[in-house]
Amino acid sequence: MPPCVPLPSPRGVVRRAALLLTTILALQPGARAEAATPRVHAIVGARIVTAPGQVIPRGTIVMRDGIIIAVGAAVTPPPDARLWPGDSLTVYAGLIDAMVLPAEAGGGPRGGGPGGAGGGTSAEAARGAAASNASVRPEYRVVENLALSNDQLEGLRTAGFTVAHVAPRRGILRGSSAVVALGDGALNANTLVSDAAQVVAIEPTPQAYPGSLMGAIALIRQSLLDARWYRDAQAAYARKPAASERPETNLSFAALQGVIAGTQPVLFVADEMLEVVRAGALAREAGVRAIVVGAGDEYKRVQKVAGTTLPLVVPVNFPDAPDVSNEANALEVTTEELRHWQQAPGNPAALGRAGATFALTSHGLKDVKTFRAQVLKAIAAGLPMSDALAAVTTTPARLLGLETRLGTIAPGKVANLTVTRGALFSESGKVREVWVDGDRFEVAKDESSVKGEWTLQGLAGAATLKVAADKDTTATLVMGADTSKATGVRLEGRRIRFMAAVRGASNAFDLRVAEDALSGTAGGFQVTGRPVVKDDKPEAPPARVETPVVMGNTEPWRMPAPAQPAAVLVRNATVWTAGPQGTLANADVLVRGGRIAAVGRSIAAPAGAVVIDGTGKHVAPGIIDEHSHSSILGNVNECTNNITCEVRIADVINSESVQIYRQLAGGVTMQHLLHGSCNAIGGQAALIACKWGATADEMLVSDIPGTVKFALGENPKQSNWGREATNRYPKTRAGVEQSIREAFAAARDYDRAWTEFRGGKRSIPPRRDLQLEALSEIVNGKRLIHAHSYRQDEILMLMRVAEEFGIRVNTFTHILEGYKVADEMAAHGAAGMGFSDWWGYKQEVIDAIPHNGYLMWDRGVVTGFNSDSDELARHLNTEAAKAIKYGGVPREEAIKFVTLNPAKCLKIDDRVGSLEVGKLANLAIWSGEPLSPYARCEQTWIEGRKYFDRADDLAGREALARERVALEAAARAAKKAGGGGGGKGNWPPRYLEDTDMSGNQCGHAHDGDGHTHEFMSETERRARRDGVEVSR
Amino acid sequence: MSRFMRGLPSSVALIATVALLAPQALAQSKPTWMPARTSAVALVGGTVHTVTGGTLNNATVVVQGDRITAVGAGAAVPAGAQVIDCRGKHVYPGFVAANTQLGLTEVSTVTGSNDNAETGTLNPNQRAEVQINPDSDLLPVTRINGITSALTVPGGGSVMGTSALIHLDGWTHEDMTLRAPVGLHVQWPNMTPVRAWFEQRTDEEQNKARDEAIAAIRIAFQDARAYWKARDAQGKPGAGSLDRDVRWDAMRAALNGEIPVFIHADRLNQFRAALDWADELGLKRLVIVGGYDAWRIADELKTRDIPVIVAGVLATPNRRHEPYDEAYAVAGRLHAAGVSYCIADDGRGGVHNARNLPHHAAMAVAFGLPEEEAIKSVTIHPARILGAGDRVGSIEVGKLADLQVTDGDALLPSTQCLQVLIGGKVIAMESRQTRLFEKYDARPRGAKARAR
Repeated sequence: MPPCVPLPSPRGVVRRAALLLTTILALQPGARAEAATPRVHAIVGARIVTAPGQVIPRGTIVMRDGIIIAVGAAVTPPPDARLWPGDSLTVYAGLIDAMVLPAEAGGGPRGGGPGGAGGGTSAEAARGAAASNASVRPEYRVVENLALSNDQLEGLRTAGFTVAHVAPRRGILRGSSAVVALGDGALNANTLVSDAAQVVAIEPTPQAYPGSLMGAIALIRQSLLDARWYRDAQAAYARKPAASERPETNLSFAALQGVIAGTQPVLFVADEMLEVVRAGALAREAGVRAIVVGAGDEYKRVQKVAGTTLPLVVPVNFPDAPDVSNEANALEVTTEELRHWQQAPGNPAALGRAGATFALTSHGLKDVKTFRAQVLKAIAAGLPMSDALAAVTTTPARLLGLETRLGTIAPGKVANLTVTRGALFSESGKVREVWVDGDRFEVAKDESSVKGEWTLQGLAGAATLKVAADKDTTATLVMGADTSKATGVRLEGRRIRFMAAVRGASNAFDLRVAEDALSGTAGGFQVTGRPVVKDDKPEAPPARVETPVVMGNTEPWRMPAPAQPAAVLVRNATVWTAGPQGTLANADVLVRGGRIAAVGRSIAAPAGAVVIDGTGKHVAPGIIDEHSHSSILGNVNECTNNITCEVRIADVINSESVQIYRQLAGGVTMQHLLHGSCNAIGGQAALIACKWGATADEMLVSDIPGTVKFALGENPKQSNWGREATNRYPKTRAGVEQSIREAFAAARDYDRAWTEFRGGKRSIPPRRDLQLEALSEIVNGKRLIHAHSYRQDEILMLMRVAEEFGIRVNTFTHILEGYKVADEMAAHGAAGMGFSDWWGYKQEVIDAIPHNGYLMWDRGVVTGFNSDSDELARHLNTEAAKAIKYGGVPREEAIKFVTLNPAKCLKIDDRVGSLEVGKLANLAIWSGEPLSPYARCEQTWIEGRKYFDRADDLAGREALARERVALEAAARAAKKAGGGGGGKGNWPPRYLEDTDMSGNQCGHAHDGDGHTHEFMSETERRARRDGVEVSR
Repeated sequence: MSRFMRGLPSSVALIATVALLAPQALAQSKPTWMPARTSAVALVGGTVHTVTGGTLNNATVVVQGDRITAVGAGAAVPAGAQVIDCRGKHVYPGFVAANTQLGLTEVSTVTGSNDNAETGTLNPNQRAEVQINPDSDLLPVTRINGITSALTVPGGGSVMGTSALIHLDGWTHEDMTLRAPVGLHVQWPNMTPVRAWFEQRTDEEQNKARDEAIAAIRIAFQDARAYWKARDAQGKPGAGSLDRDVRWDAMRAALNGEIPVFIHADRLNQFRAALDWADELGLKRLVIVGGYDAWRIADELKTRDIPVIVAGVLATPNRRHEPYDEAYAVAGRLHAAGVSYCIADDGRGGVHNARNLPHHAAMAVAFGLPEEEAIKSVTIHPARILGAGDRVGSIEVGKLADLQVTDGDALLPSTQCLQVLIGGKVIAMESRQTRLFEKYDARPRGAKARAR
């Protein structure tokens, strides 16, 4: 019999027929023809695992009309029950898959399309009074749309699942999931929970808002606010409909009421472990209940993940060993990938150790039938067997609010069972059948063989028969202390005959196997046999290669926070204070409790101080990069609109960016992470301290005025995007000016609307709009403008628009023609942070000159140099030296271009930027004059903690090289051993990819060739990663 | 007098001396083109870094016509020579930039100004020198920073054409060209798919493109060999007639080893594939451009006498797990292993800032390159690799007078380049950028300007 075909009982046939009739002929639904076959079953004599860790070695389960009515060792089946011999079987509560996406019904994946769970068309269907954004579709309900294909149903059942939590596939706020039993009937019969969770995926959509990860987060945040506003506005209107402006009707906002009321949880779909943390933050911020579908790398920041206290649903798509068979190609496999291959199966165990609640899912597996084999790897990597079982039974039942009905085998529960030969999670175990709502589905052919270990009954006393077959078949009979090796063994298919001694007397055995049970005769007497079932722990995998936790290891999540000594004294160095003390030769710097305590000659070392001999070395303030995109996840641009100040870089800080370490090694201690320059008003920026190893929250400097990116000129005009970019307003500099003015005016109107509402002049509350809120902050001077700017006309323009609204442009960032209007900038009070010498990469920068820094400085502008990119960021010290070459800025002023002056423009010069008593001990120690490329950065300290030390980095390299050799050897051995089928897993995670700069069409190093980079949807990004062909 | 030298009174003295002794220069206070070459120029009293013959203190370099005619403490200043007072200054040979597109591009995003990306896969017949714009704004910007000659590499496709070594000064590209063709340039495809935001193709698409590109390179060289066999057989009994193919015509010098094939590649698997290919074709002379992983096969490169143009020291590591200073250390490792090498920049995005070449060499010193090697890595080493070691790259009698006078170590970004000579010509130290600087520096000063 082929697998997955339901038992050909009359009832089964009838039920299938009923399904066909209702679906094909659309006969009156619900008036299904029912056969009268009784639905009373008893599985007799089986090994029963009623709950994780609770086993009845031999017992009976009785089911009536889809409900378990009895279970136990001493249960007698009722007289009307149909009996199912369970001698060779183990019965578990039916497995639950807490995350199932309906298979694509043809066509390629298209994020953001309308689709529906199984749909594949790209045309947007009319959605009536729903949200205007195509990715906001919370009103979508799986229960109204779902049809799991027969293939998918059968696949899930073959893997042992009886219930699936089915989530919609499309959009960001995707709609309500449903919990369905995996029987063959209609959704009417199979639905367990119809609106189980609101499914939310943190991912961008192509070609439409939001095109970036931070945009997706902004949209989620806004939508949850919209739901609350909708509730309040409707209530206000209901109280006083007369003379009130009627608030809109919105099905999408209405559909989110359960979420904000706390009656429906949100199921966040995360793409990597940082997204799990982000989902936790979003849930906390919005005050909603949440479950998170993880990605399998949660072990990396497992404490942080567990700290969210959100339950998780994690995949088991552990990657295969990377191919390192060829020496030259092996070089292209990162050590991170090799390590992940070894560590991924340990992810569930790590979550368990950290105290996280988690279910396991087949989600992400190419073939659901490999599910149990993958779980077995997790068990081999330390997941306790009972925890594994709980993760597919009791835990998902609880997460879905079904613990009273599912998850264990107990009277009153739904008759969902997973029946195996051998243990569920064992090399030899097989799913024999599943029961769904008391109906039996046979999922595996009888492939039983006599090989193995059997408990025989019918002999005089307990007997164990061991049948082995290496080259020849051997049989051994063990009875008590007696062991008898069989002779004359003949194996013919499923029949075995031999002679063996029973209590000293030789007996002829003739046994056959069927359905994993032996039956036959021994010395003429009837004998039966059941396989010996062991919850044997799988063989431990080869020992994992130990990862050296040394400086230079490029995985920050492994790095402990450096200690903060009570006192540090750098002695006898040249100290560039960048403060009133100037540059001091043979001077000391004393740090206490993370702050500068003294700078001067001959400072005594406090007891216990860490003393650093600075002879021949130079100490300078830590470098501050006012303009960086180095540590941002997803895309740095939300390009789909011209105004996007609702998006926040703080939401997408990449704590895993290796650029943080590389820049520390160039003396950088702070990065101001900016949105890209593709629109006039971009996103909110974030300032981080380069605390390598810390989490994004720990790196973020939040107690300062917020900042926002503006951009002028060719980028917001999309001048260099190729022929296709002709649609978005504006296409002229005047259009940029007007769009900014319009946005500022809208913010004023928004403020007024709130004032009127608070003053009782409006009965309906204004809709909270995060973009207008940010604009309001800007026009009220609370959020500071950092404007990407090249040409003098637009620099002047922005200052004048700002002045009209009574505010100031805080900083013109990577400004190039500042020198032409330096006096105006100085008068206005704008700082100028420039590139030292970039020019010529596009039309608007042909007048960029390297003397720009000098000229702005000379005219009284707070001036600095910034990086924009990764390599430039780590030699900003020598960039500063160019201010000396081009124009003649004094050396002591030049160093301020990358220390004190960016600190001033970020309003942090009261705490960093110079080596002055009381400021944070953010400093770098250089092997020579810091303005010279001959000088190496030797140490970088932040808040009195040493985050970089070249000596330590060098010392760690040998251990890392040894680890690499061992990892490659292990990968080769694993490939040789075979197995696999796991593919690449979810590799590479987004946080290991380079910052996506698409949209920054400004001819920088990466795109200096003038190519236009199309936006890639999240689905496409993942498909490319996974090697799947995508139709666009 | 250029205001951009303000703050450096000694440089004022230098220029003043020149003006005093060279009335024709004084007459042109703001020259917009090169002054006429005088019969002789003497750079007197400086610290002369000859590069190949040690460093000479208080020495004189004499230039007659386009050549260096004397070097040394006792070198006599010819009568009537224009004297440049180099006391307290340093005299170096001009830098040789070994991997640029100078002259081929003006504004990166303005398509009409670019001649650096030919279409098609096979462009062996693309000659860099015929499309160089002598009035490109990039040339003065580059040369007044001490870079006196540059290899200009054509771009586009897998076989990109032949490069030219040019002087960064001249009336025509014929004037400027020192040597052409220097090499036939092959862009070796990526062997491993790139996974980055700017790469839109799937792994499969990239692998297919790679295989097609390698096949195209292979077939081009094989066909060119067959073509030249047939062409050499012309007129011999039994040989038929032959149609000319300008692409294969352009490949003869590289096929028979008169010029090297420059293979642009960074990664070990590219080197392996390219070296196998070169062996299969029997190519005699190779140069690697890029060379990030070249140290990994240093012994082989040394044995086979394959030089490496390290294209970019100031670069982040290619692979995430590599040490942070991997790119910084490549030149030092190649030198230590005895491989012939020089330092260039990355050639494409960096063309507008080819002037920053010396900073790459200085950074290499901080990460392992001996200090005395650094100046060689951007002067005599590239000159030799580009087949012009007998003409440029050091201060020696008989060489072209490509010189720079500085107020300090020429490799440092804070050092001023005070005077440049190219082929004996005293170059006007100005560019579009200095002109804009002077214009806006002269703008009436606002209320917040620093007191002068």
